Amino acid sequence: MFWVIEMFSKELASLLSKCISCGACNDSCPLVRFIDGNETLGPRARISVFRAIDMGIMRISVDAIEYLYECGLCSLCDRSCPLDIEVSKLMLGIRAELIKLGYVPPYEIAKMRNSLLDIMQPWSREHRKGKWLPPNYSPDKEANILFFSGCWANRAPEMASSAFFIAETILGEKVYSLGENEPCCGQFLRIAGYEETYKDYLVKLREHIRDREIARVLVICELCKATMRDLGLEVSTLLEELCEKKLIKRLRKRRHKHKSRKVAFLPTCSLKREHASLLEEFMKEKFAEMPSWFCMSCGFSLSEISSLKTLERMVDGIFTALKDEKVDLLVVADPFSYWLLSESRKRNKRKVKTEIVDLYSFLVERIKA
Amino acid sequence: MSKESFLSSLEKIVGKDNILSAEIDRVAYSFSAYNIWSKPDFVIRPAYPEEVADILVECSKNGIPIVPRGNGTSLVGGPISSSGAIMSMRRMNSVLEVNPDDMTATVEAGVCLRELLKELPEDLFFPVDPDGLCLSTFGGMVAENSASPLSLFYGTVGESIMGLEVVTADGSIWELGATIPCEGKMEKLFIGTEGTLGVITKVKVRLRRRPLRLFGLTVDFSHVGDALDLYSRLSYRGELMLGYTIYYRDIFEVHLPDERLGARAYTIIPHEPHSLVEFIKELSEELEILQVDVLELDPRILPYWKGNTYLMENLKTTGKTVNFVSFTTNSDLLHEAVSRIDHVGARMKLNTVTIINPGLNWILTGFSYDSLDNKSRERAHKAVEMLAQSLEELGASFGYGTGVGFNMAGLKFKELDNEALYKKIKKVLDPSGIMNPGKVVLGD
Repeated sequence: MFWVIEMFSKELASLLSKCISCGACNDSCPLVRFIDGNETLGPRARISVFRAIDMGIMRISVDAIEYLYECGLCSLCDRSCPLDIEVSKLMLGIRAELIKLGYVPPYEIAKMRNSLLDIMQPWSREHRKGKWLPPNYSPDKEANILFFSGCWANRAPEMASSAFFIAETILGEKVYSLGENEPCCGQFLRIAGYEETYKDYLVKLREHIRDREIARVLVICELCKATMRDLGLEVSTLLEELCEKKLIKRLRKRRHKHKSRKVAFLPTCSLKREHASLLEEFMKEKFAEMPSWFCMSCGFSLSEISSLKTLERMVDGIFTALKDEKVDLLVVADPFSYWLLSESRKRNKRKVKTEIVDLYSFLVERIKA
Repeated sequence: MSKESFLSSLEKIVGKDNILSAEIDRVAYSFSAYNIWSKPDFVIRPAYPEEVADILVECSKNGIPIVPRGNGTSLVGGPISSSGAIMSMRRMNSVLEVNPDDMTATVEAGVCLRELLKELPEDLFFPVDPDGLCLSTFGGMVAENSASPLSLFYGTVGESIMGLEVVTADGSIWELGATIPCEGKMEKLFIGTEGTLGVITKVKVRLRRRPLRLFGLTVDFSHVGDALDLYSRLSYRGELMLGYTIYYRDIFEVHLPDERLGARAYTIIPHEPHSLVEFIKELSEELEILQVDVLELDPRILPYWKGNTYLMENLKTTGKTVNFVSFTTNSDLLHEAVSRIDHVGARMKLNTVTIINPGLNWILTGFSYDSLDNKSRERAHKAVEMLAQSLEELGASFGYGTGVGFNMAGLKFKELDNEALYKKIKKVLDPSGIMNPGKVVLGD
């Protein structure tokens, strides 16, 4: 017997109560799969915990809030639910409702919100943008395709510069970058549950980037893509562009010398199957068949801020999976994942033999070879 | 011994990271499928049989109840503990050996069916899939002696077991079964006894050859009695069926495809269905058959049994969860049992879902309730008790294919002399009574 305290709205509570705890979601959760099958880290447990809170079996606590932000919202679980519950939306809904109720997200995330509102960047001013651009870069005045590199790529400058190079060279488009004036796309606010703040931020962002008519936006990060869509701009990721225009085939002529190495590909979650297979076809290397939960979505970038310990355990799990599959090279499409994995590898060089490269540097290597 | 020093003694066995006692962890491990829940005191996650042995010795010494848990897919709350510890077996998740020549596989107890299937050659499979999602672990399936619709042809999980490694409460590790691919003897003691006599750590199973062709037949009836009758006639005709399951009209109630529908039978056959369809159509008037549909299935795609979707559709539409009861009764009483389910459901003002496997004399029924509504939850529990009393008169036996679990643990029944002998064995193997207390013996 328990008291139903009805903490959440009826819509959210009824979504929570829909779950029958079958556990199908856990099977596809990268956190559960990479961290020893620990039930606590999976979507079923997260639903159970917040249902328990709604039912009054458990009290809301700082731990519970931190726990909520540990989920990377990769949405792999949505695809495996036999009742079609969109677990990632449910998690996002809980974050948003808790904020509306006056609860504060983990400190680092709340701090990031303030920084976004203040300087339009998630981190301090020290993380300067556009470091990857040539020193005297000045945007082509006629260019009307905005290359929006995103915050994470700025922490991994080699990825941003390779991507920019591809945009100019292969796509042959007139692209321009906002350089050090590039603001954050603000998706952090949305995935943190700051729904209203995100809407306000979009207005501010629109003002900031519209110094010229933007025909299209090219991005390398799925978070940036979501924002540009919300702004009503035509947007695609560089990889989509390469695949859809069949431009990736242009690269095929220049094959790479290392034919014998085993490569694994860590795609972004919205990457279409045909894109992945086209890429694999192009790469012409021995590809490791990685499991469906081999994913590190951009939503984990919030976990990096609030639940680093869990994320580090997940990264260890990824390295172990790569070792088990005897993977020589991991190609990573998402800038945050690339940054995190390559930084972790730098720290564990002795342990981790697999090389890590971002997708665009990998492609550039082909062009230059 | 204080709780802290007890936990620190366990930490020495499995490491700090594998003892979970925070509130969130306890709630996370308090649920199994269909929202049956009860909060354990802590969770322990061993990775080796030796660790399991040391844990059991510590728990025996301190009288701490321990409940093994796989993937938490039990329909009746098998891995639920109201006190003491949950022992999660999911770190023991290696497929140790697949022998295609002998058609056997050896897995650690925490391996789930999906994980084994990935490792098998294309022509082999393991046929029993109790949750319909291939997510149940082998330890759990053996402990509950799970069944699924294909058990009609392939038997329960227990009938595919060639050997087990189990750990008993005194810390002994036993390798049971035969060294050659045939059944042993003593492993049977641990099949279906729900982890009350020992913890299963390794399982050797018999694999089956995948059928070359498969057809699924759906037959709609006006009356459930006719669906039962068709099974008898097909069986008498010597028809080879891998499974024959009847979905009673209550499962479609929220989304009834045809007002006249009383029951839908679904069967899978491993050969060309033409003559069978003709035979069924000839019976159309006599049995009030509304419709017959045939679909060729791809034998390479598992799970074969698609009937689970009816239950999922029901739950999707109603947004409710189900309190399940699993029982068997004599074949001539199955129809009467369905009437009694109807009666209890109507009296308690609850929707029911009923799945009948006539070849196994097995009915899985449940009362739908809103998991956030206390009153409907209580009514569902009451309904289970009422139904159990009513079914006792029919000589029903509880827990077939699912185990007794947490759901039916409170029901009181006489089970011939099985109970008395079981209790004697239990006393020898588990003198402190720590192993999954309250399960198996109804009313214990």
